[in-house]
Amino acid sequence: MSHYSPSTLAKVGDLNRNRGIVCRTGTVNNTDVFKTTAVNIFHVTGRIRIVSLDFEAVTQFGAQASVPRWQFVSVTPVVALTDISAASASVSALAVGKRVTMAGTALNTAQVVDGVAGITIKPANLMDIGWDGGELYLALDSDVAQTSGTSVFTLCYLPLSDGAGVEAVV
Amino acid sequence: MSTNVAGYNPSTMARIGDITGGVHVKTGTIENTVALPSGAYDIFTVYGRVRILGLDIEAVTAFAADATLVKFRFTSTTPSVGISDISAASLSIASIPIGAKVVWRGTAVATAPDVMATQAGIAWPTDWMDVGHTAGVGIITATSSIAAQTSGSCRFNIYYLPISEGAYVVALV
Repeated sequence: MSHYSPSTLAKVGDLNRNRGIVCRTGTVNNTDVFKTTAVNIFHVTGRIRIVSLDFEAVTQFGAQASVPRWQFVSVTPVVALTDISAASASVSALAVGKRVTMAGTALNTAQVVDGVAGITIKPANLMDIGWDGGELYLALDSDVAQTSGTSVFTLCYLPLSDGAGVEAVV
Repeated sequence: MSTNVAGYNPSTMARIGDITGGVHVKTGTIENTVALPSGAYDIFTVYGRVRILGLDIEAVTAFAADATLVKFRFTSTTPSVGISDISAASLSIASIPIGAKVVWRGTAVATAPDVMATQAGIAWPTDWMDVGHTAGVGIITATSSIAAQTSGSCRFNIYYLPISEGAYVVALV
């Protein structure tokens, strides 16, 4: 049963509102994305509904007490960096396979760190972001820079306005 | 070819179910003495990271009157992570009738599965849970306790969506 090709499996997920379209980065060096200031991770066109937004430790994180939070900065219309989550607990030495997930409940709700590597509970809420015809970036500000480790970012979303979409920029 | 009121053939109906409810993978029919022995029984292998929308045990024949409890667990083999609960233990599954199910809820790793006393009555889980890792491999296990099932038979069902590139689930039995 379900002898689908990988591309068909991916399309099945695209059509299901519990996942939506997946946009993922490649494996990135933590030194490039977990910094003391905001780093753009995803480029968003139009308005989308975030079903889940997380990063996963591909290799163990460095021992630096980074506390990442998600922000957005809008290009059209111009809106300055604004938090869409509070900081997570420290991701110092985050173990391989652990994920940190945006809860989506409020703009000041902290990100959730997996208790066990490889098991992630559904985020508490969905969050809509963007405008019809707008353009923005989802950015990560970690306050304390990571000096080692690698990670992958995953955004599952549904488009809400005409032509809405996301692309990874790291 | 048989059709239904909607005019779809069975394979099309299956595809509609996969799209709306998640991709369905099921085991064959397994004797309860094998699958629910008051111990661990591996049921699905997970490649990559998947989103579980549903996971259950279905009674193919009526279960024995043994007061077995069961929970679901996940073991990541790549990367190597110890076995971890993805549910608490259910209430007793003694004597559930043919067609009844033990339904994983997904709300938290400490949430117990529901045990259906009849063939109907429990809604589809409203929560989902991601398991596995990018390019990883893991196993979903049913772990029974307190008492072994001494008769009856069952099958396991999982409904999932892939999250990482090329992720999928296969039945081990």
